[in-house]
Amino acid sequence: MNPLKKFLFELQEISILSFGALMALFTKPRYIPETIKQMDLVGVGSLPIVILTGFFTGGVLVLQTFPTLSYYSAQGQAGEAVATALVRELGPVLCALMVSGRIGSAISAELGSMVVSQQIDAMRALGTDPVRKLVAPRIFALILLLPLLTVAADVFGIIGGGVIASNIYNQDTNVFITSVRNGIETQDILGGIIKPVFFGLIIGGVSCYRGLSTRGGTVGVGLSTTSAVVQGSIAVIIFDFFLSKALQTILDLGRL
Amino acid sequence: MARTQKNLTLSQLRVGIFVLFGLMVLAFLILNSTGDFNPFEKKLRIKARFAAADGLRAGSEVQLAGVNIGKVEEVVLLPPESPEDFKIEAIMAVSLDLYGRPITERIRTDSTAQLVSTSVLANDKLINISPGSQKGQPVGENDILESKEAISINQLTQTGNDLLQQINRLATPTNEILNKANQGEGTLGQIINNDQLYQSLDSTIGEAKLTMLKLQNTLDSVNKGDGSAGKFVRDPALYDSLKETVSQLEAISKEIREGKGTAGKFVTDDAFYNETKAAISDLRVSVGKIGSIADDFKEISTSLREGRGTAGKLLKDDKLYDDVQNTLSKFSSTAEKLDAILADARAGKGTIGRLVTDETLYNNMNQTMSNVNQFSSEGTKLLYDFRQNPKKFLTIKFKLF
Repeated sequence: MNPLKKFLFELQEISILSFGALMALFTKPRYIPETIKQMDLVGVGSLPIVILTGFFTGGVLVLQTFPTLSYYSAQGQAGEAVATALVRELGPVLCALMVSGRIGSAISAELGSMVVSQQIDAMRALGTDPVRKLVAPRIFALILLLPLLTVAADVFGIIGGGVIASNIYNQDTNVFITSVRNGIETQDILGGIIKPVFFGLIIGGVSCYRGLSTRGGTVGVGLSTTSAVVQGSIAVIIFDFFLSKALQTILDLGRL
Repeated sequence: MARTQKNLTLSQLRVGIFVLFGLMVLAFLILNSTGDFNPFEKKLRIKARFAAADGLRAGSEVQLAGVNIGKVEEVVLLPPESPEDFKIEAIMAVSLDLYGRPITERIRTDSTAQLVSTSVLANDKLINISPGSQKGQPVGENDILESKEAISINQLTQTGNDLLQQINRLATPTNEILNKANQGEGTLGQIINNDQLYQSLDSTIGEAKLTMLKLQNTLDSVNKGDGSAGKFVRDPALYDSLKETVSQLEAISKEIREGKGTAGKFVTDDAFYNETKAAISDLRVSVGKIGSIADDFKEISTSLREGRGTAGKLLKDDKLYDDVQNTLSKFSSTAEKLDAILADARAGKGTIGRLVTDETLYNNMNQTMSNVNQFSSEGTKLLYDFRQNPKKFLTIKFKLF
């Protein structure tokens, strides 16, 4: 099978799976306890790594941009630069990458081992739709919680930037806060929250498909886990570009 | 999964193809919507030649009166034998249509291409095309537009430098003048610092105003016929009387000329002249006498000056003065002493003092006088009694034992 066919096939399968999962949300039966469990796993479980990532990303942004800004005597705009970058771009993308690494691998490994141990077939034999029971709660949890995790990443990123600016570059905290307030507008935050919704769908679709299409025993589980993380991350970054461009047009962003 | 990956036909990949196609269209629309990416639009290629590219690159903006209409596609060097002003050629690709109308309605053969800096700081350049007029023809593909070099920032700086130097040169003397003026030196300084001119001008103007007012009032009253001037202007009486006087004078002069009356005699008869002449000669004699009197006076005054005679002594000898002064000084010492005595007297010292201040003497005198008075009344009564009954007193009884 040639790579183009393989790519088209996988795209088709992922699309069908995601569509089926989304449609399953509107009809009974719904598996609410399973959904809440997945939300706990995705949201609360990922919160520490997202906060840490956001905090240090904000810190390193200030660390790197501050000397350049002070070369142009624009130190006062460090907060603006960090906040804009985090809220518009880095918050959603980094958060999605971290969740893709942590949750995407977990989903594909779990579903993959269920496939390998024929639990999915048993489920189907017992009359339970694995897409409703397994895929829909995961995708829903990701779509709902990735924006919230992104907000946490944004907030802690700005805090990290402020800590670095005030402690290493001796910038007054008020200056930083004022600059952040100047930099962010409602459209920025809106754009930064719309993006993770799509990222959640992509991560969930790719990792669920990878898990369910696992073949060849435990080795296959490892392979599908790896490809779930890799393909999920790449898809997130590619879609991020087009999403950014579309949001720039729709929300009139990108003009300073 | 229901489907296996083996022996897939295209019909089994319909959904995949559809999704891929959908995503590609979506991506294209996203890029195309902002107008940044439009591979299917036809472009009009026009050229412009400049002396140097100066930061103009392929991809630089092309503007029509400041509105972005395309991009510079290529910047090429022209052959070495080309003229000095045209060493490079910029090939621009501009949109064929602008707001639904062909761009050639706006870019005409009389449009000019100008090399402009994007900002003051940046060295990046863009090409600005000026809109053409109706006189020009529509530009065609690969037409070369007339080019115009905009003032570069370097030229501007140079010009500014020259200007600044000249201003500097001018500023030093100006400064001196102004300093002097500020310190109040010279006419200008006085004009600026001293308000005397202003004050006097002001008062002058005020006075002038007042004068004008008065003049106007006067003229008004003159116009009305009040006062002498008014009468002079308005009343014909003066003119009439003047006329009469003149006619009378005329008559008088006529009579004089004819030798009538005293004046006529005066004018015509020479008797008066002769008498006058005699009187004048008499006067001259009198004047000579006055001269001799004056001589006498002179003599007297010289003798006075020399100290002769009583008056001379009075004028020249200071003995009399000395005597008078002596007498006066004595008089003044006497007065002083008298003054001291009087002062003592006022203080009640000495006899005079007592006399002046002490009332005892007066009281005693008074008492005495009253006693005397009583005594005299008693005396009077006695005398009266004596006269009435002299026998009472004049009976002398001799009693002997």
